Amino acid sequence: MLTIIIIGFILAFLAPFIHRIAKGYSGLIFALYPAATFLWLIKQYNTVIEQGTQVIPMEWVPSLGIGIDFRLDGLSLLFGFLISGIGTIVLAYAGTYMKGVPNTDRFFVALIAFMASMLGLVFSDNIISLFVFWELTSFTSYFLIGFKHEYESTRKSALQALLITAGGGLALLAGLILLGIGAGSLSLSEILQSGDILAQSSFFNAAMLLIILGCFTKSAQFPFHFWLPSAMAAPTPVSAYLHSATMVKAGIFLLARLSPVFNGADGWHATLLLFGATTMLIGAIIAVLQTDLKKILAYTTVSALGLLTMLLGIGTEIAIKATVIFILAHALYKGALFLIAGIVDHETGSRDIRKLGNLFRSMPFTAVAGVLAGLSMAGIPPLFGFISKEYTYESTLGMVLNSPLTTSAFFITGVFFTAAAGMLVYMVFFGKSNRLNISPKETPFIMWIGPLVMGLLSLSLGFGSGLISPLLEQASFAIRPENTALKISLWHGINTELILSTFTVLLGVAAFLFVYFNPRLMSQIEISEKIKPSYAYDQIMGGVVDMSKIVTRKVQNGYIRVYVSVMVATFCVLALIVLQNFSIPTIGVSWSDFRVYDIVIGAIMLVACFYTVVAQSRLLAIAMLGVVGYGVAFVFIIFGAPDLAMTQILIETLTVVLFVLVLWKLPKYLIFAEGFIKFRYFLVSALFGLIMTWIVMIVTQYPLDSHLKAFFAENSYPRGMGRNVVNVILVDFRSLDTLGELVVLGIAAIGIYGLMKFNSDKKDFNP
Amino acid sequence: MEDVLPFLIGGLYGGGIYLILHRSFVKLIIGLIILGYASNLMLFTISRITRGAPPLIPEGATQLTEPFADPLPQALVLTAIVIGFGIQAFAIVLIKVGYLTGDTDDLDKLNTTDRLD
Repeated sequence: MLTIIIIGFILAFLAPFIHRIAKGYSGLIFALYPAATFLWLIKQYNTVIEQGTQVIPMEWVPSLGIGIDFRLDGLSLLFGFLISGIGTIVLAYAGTYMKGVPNTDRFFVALIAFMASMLGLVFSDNIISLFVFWELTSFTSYFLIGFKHEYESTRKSALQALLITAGGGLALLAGLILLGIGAGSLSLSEILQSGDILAQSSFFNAAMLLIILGCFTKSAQFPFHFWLPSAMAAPTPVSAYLHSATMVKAGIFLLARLSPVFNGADGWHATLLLFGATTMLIGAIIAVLQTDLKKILAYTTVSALGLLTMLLGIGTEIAIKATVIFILAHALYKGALFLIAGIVDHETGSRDIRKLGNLFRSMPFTAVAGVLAGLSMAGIPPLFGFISKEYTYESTLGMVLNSPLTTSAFFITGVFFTAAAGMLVYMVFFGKSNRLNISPKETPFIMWIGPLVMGLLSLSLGFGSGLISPLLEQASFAIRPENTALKISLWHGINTELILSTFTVLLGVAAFLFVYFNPRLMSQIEISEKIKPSYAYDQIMGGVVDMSKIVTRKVQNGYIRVYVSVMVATFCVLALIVLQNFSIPTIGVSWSDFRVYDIVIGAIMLVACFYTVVAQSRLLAIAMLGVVGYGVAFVFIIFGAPDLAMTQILIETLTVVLFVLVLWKLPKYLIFAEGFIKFRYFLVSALFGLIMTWIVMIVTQYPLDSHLKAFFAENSYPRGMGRNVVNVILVDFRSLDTLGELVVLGIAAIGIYGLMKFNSDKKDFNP
Repeated sequence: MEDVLPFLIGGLYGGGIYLILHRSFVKLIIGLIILGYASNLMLFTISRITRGAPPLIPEGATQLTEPFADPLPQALVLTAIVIGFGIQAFAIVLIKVGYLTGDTDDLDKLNTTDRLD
């Protein structure tokens, strides 16, 4: 399993080179990867059917219990088949669809990397590696949505999707870690078996809510649903693959995956039911108000994701069965419809259903695929979508509480689904002829074959549902271990579900006809911007930007004195926190050691320093600075450091000379600060000075144990052949440091030379 | 002197910071130089001082005998003084060039790179 995922990433890395060689056929070559994965999964599928869940362990960070373990069971296999199967179709399709588009190599890099990440996500058996793959899907999705990055709206959509899904990802990470702490293991297999321990854990509710939040953002549940329609800015193969069949179902996948742990918890059912049903209704209603093919598909996808969340929230045996059936049915018809929308857009240049029409003649194969997918979406027998709808009705009708509410919510959704299917298929392929003044022709085989296969699968699975039953049964076991065997059949006899289903279709057709004949009325319905969650998103994003501007203006205001005083004040506060543990040192003046010249030198230096600070003229300040410097040299002499004293005197002289030479031409010595500001500076610097005094006093009270002092004392002469130990250290023991010092001086010299050169172009400059 | 040094260091630090907080570029440099003195003295002091005993090995001996001043901090401070000079020289020329091109010694007029918009 790991091999497959690593191959995927390597292939993504190599994609630009392959694309350069294979040109128009690169899509077909890349499609071999998911196709091979699909075949490998079929082999694994047989093992799972015979021997049950397979876990492939693989250590990563064993000390933290993090592994790249993989788990093969019904649920992961169902998703694995969807990812690799639809992936094959999409890659082959994209090769032709993207022909002539610049930067197609980048597109394939992101798409293949996404494929590998998504496979990693669904097969992970460790919640940390699952999270890593989860985030990888968010990132690759960002690059794919932002593929046409030259448009500002595209960049905005991509950023929106990334911020929402990655923001939810943070909540998810926190939730997963809490879950791991509660269960005492990061392994999914162990977490799934420790539901009872987890229910006792104090983290249980927090973990559940955070995970739900993460899943809701990823699966575009209300109020986070708006990123998905915006994400339609991506090229259509991406919309078909990521934003309908795979990535957006990652949230659903994780909810289903952790269902055995949370099913039965108080908040679980209510939250999923409420948000799922809301999303389902909102998505369905907005869908029929759209006129852009991709927007209709996007909103019905939002609605379908809501339906899946709702079914997981119902959580009964039949609801879980309905979930897995609907996942498959939806992936088949929605993937096909997206690809068909892409074909239509590609051939006619328009996605507006008001302008399209009567394409059946010119594009028969695409039209057949569209009709099959549309019928499945509308839930008309004998297509697979019909079975899915029957199971959903059975789930809502079987609920103990709230059955009428959820049933009617689903009824409304079903009606709109049928209407939307009519808009997508009838208004494009039949009806009046198009208003585009073009004569479109059928696409190449490689583009229409994919949707047609998916449409035919929808049809054949309706009749031959027995073929797929074992897989779906395994998937339903994985979500709800106490589930019984699943026997899908097309005909259930005449019952409430069938009657409801019939009415759904009839009303749906009526709704479609209403939309069809009243295009003007439909276009007048507008939803106020202010009640949309995207308005809140824009407000929040704008607020964040404004806030950071304000903070930047405050913090990075361009005044050096503010930066310095903040740093100094921070240092003072931190130092005081540490220093409060030490008593104020006593000043024990030892009179026997008392020397008048010590006091005199110290006093002269302090007075000179004072005059440097308050001097009204630059020359006085520099002269006083020199006095301080010579004072420092005196201190060095007193305490046995003649080399330092010599250096200090030399350099002090040089500095003063340089200062006077260079600065004598400058303007009047500036005195800006007055009154209170001056006092504030004074307070900060006085506090800093006091703290430094205090620190020196404390440090010198403790004994110092220096091995180095003895080492240099012993070895200087024998090993360095020098009697001046300081010099031996500089040129011998620490000669590399001295070399570094020389380099610094050299750089400073070059810098000074550069500065003077820079200036000499403009004015005469003689320092 | 041992008792005087901490106050001297504190005084120099205070004076240095006070000058740095001014708007004048020249004062900033002078402040930096004073800060350099203070830091050198501090490093020198906290690694203990020994009066009147330079680390020089007398003729005839092969190693130092106590008491003698610790040579290592001296080596460090010596390096610091020299490097400090390099920075001072650079900064002094920078003020000059800055004044000749920007016509100001006022730090508040040299902050365009830190402005938004």
